[in-house]
Formats: sequence, C-alpha cells, structure tokens
Amino acid sequence: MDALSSFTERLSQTRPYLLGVFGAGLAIAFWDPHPKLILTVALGISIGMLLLGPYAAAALYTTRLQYVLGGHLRWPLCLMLAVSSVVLMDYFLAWKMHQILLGGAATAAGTVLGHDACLAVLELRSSPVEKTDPWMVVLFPLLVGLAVLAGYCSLGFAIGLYQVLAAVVA
Amino acid sequence: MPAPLSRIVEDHFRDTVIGPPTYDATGNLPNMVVYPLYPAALGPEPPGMITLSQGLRRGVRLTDTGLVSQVHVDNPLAAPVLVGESEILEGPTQRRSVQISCVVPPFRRASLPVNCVEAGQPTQYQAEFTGAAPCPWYLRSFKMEQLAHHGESHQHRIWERIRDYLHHAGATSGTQDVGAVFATHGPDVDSLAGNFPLEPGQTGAICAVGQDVFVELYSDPELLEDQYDQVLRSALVEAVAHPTREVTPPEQVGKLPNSLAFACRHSRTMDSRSLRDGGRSQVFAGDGVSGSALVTGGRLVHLAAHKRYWGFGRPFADQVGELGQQRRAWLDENRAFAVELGRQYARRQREYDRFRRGLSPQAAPRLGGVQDLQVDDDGPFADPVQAPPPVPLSEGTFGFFLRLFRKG
Repeated sequence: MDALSSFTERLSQTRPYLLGVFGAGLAIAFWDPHPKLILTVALGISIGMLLLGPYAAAALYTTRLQYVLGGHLRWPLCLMLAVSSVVLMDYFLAWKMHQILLGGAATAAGTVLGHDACLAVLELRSSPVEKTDPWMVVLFPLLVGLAVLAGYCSLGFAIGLYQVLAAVVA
Repeated sequence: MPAPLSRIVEDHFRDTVIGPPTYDATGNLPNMVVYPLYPAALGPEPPGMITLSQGLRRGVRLTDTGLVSQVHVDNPLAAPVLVGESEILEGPTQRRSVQISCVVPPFRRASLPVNCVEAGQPTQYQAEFTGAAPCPWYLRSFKMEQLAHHGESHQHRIWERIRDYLHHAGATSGTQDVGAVFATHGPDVDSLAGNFPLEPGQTGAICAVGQDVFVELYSDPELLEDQYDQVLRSALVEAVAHPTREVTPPEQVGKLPNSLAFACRHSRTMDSRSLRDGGRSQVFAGDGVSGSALVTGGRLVHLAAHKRYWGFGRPFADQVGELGQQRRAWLDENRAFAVELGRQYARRQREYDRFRRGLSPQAAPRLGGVQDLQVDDDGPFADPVQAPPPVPLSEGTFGFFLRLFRKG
C-alpha cells in the first residue's frame, strides 16, 4: 500500500482484515443465530470507529485530559467510553449478559481503531502536501460493520442453498 | 495588505552591497567565484531567532512521522527557530530535505513539509533527527522549480533526479542518498572551502559556479554565520562534481538582483497550516530564475535562488586578471566601510552569543507573555504547554490507517 495507490488498490489491501471480521460474523451465526447479537456487534464496531474513537481523541487532545497520567490516559479512556456506552444501551434495551460482553468487546475494538484512525486523519490533514481520502475515512468503518453482517448472513445463505440443492436432488 | 515579494526583494537588494569577487587564486577551482553580500548599514540589534542547527543543540526536537513528506518539529525554546530551505535532516531514519524556509515560533509544535532524499531507506516512526546538512544546489533548484510551477514537488521526480545526479556526479549510494555526493567529493570540498572565508558582517553570498549562479541571503549576519558552511558547501559541491573551466562573468552577476526582483513578480505562496503565523514562504520561477523566500513582518529573512546564465560563461583564465583588479579596487574603495561593518558586527555578535546562551528548553508560560503570540490553529498539535504528544494506541493500526487514508 503506497501513497500513489488508488482507492480500490488500497481497499483490496484491507482484505485480510475484512475477511477476519467476516469470519467473526460467521462464528456468531453458528454460536447464536439471533439477529440481536450480530446487530450489536456490527453497530458496536462501526459506531466505535466512527463516533467513539474520534470522540475519545477529541476529548483527550483538545482538553486538559492530555496532561493526566503523562499522556497515558488514552487506553483507560477509550475502554471506559466503550464500556459506558454499552452499559447505557443495556439500561435502555435490557441486554443479556453475553450480548453485553460481545457488544462491549466489539465497541472497545472499534473505539481503539477509531482513535488511531482519527490520529492518522489529523496527521494527514496537518500536512500541506498529503491529501486525505474522505470516502475511505467514512466507508471503511461501514465496510467493517457490513463484513460482520455478511459473515452472519452467509451461514443462512449456505443453509438455504443446501436445502434447495437437497430438495432438487431428492 | 502585505507588500509584494518583488518589492521586498528590490528594497532588500537596494540596501545590500555586492562584495569583491573571491576565488581560488591557485586555479585549482576554475569554475567558481563567490561574491559576498553585505548590508549597506547594520542595525544595532542582533536577530531574536536562531537557526535549526543551533536549535537542535538547545533542545529543539525533530521526529519522523512515518510519512515521507512530513517531519514533526517541537520548539521548546523561547525563541523562534529558522529552518532553511532544503536543509537535509539527518538521523537514524530516512534522510529528508526541508521543502521551504520557515520559522517555527517559540513553544510551538508543528509539521514541517519535507522531501525524501534517500529513497532506499525506510522511515522509522518517531525516530529523532539529530543534525542538519547541506543539500546540493542541483536538487534545490529542481525542487524550487517544481514548487513554483506546480505548488508541490513530486516525490518520485525528486528520486529520479537524485538517481541521475548521483550517476553524473560519480557518487554511489546503496540507499540513493543525495548526501553520497559529499561522501565522494568531501575531501575536495573541504580543502577548497578555505578559499571562501566568511567575512565579518556578511549576510549572504552569490556563488557563480560554471554557468549557474546561486544566491543565498539572510536578514542578519548572525544567521548566515551559523549557516555559512552549508551555504558554501551546497554550491561548492557542484563546482567540484561538475568541473568546467568557464564561469559566469561579474557583469552578469551584477544584473542578478534585478532578475530576481523580476522573477518574484510571479511568486506562489506556500501555505503551511501549522506554521501560518511563522512567516510567509514564497517560491518563484521565470526568466531562468528559480528561488524561494521567507518573509516575516514585511522583512526578508531568507532568500535562496538559482539563475542560469547558460551561454554567458567565459573561461576563468581569461577573467582572472579582471577579477583580481576588481577585488583590489573594491577593497581599496570600501576599506572604511568594511572596518565599520566589522566593528558593528563584533558588538552585535557578543549580544547574540549572550542571547543564545540564555536559551534552554522550558515550558511555555501559561499566562501572558509569549503565549499571547500563539494562535491555536493546529488542533491537537498546537498546545502551548509541554503536553505529551498525541500517541496512537497501536503503532501498527496507526500506520495502517495512515496508508489507507492517504490519497494518491
């Protein structure tokens, strides 16, 4: 992935990550096919990347929080932000324990990625010569969420296809 | 409304005296003549800024961002730091060359636009640059032309240029490092540099090398004194690497200020978001001239330019008599001026040394004073107090997103 590659070239380099997320979606479908769980994971990771991570970065680097613990507040802050969001959702939607845990893990991962992605965007924007690709900034987090859903749906698709083929053969 | 660059340059040269031609009297360097530049009158106050080399010794930190085109600078000093155009930043990472002259204000963190001058060396995120070295004029003028014409210098063209340059200069480098030319011709450059000593009060130099003329001018002699070694070597290496027996004659050199002022009419301002309040950097090209200038408060701080006088060169052997005559005549006519300039400069120098000695890294005052001068235009990178820098949670993911979000 170099600075001169196109959107599609750069996107194709993310294939291993997207496949990993796809596999996670598939695993969730095997474990608990209820759509609540997969939606929690997909939304948790996307919202973590798009909202909570950048929010954590903004809270850290534009306020006095950056001075606390010599700059090492970022890990606890990101995790606290993810966990508190999940706890808040649980309060309104009365989630089950495994949904809380899975949602918390997905949101925390999304927040960590979102924080670093936000710093990367700031780094690129502070350069007079580098250009940021806004489409990639918005689409990549959404694609990650969609890849989880795709992994989940693929199980249903595969089972349906199997049954159609079995019916045809029988 | 700020004054146009052409007028600033014109005014500056009106108050500048072109000194006597200096050359290697033994004839070992028949393609280089240096004309020192002096201020017509030297003010009593030394500059309130220091150069990057001095800054690095006093706590200024330059760190690699991992991006080829960008280096972070952190100035913890109470004085602005002048970063000269094309200074090569050295350290345990990929070598970079500063794109344009700029001033890093006191207590400021900012991003410096740079070019990579060592294609085969990978960047090392957060590695520190420890020194500054000269950049050959061949590359400098190419970069200036690129900037003036396109507003940016394409990195792959610079790499191509360096490859050709090293080939023509007979230098080899496993990492395509432009500095290899100094490694190859260093001993010659060192032995010949003594022919062109820095004169007291000198603020710049016009170096006629073959059929090219390079000029570098600073607002104050103290700044040139710190940078003179780089200024001289940058031109001298061209004379050594591309030996000829011709040199541009003095009558053409005398026309240079007018050519510069004319070329400056079509200048382009380089916008550096994080150093917006540190001065105005402009680049210009035209009429065989390419150059860059840094202006702060309507005053020219640094000017670097190159003019091609192709077809005007004359054999050095034919000119040596005339050059010697001119030199003697200048020294006879301006003896009193040179003595007075030297005396004033010595007084300023003492004061400037005191100023520099008093500089040490410190946290910015939280209230009043210098903090009032700062404009918070850099988001998270511009906090005036010594805050820890933004650090990614994982360097791997940070690097991944940098590459993913960078538009080609």
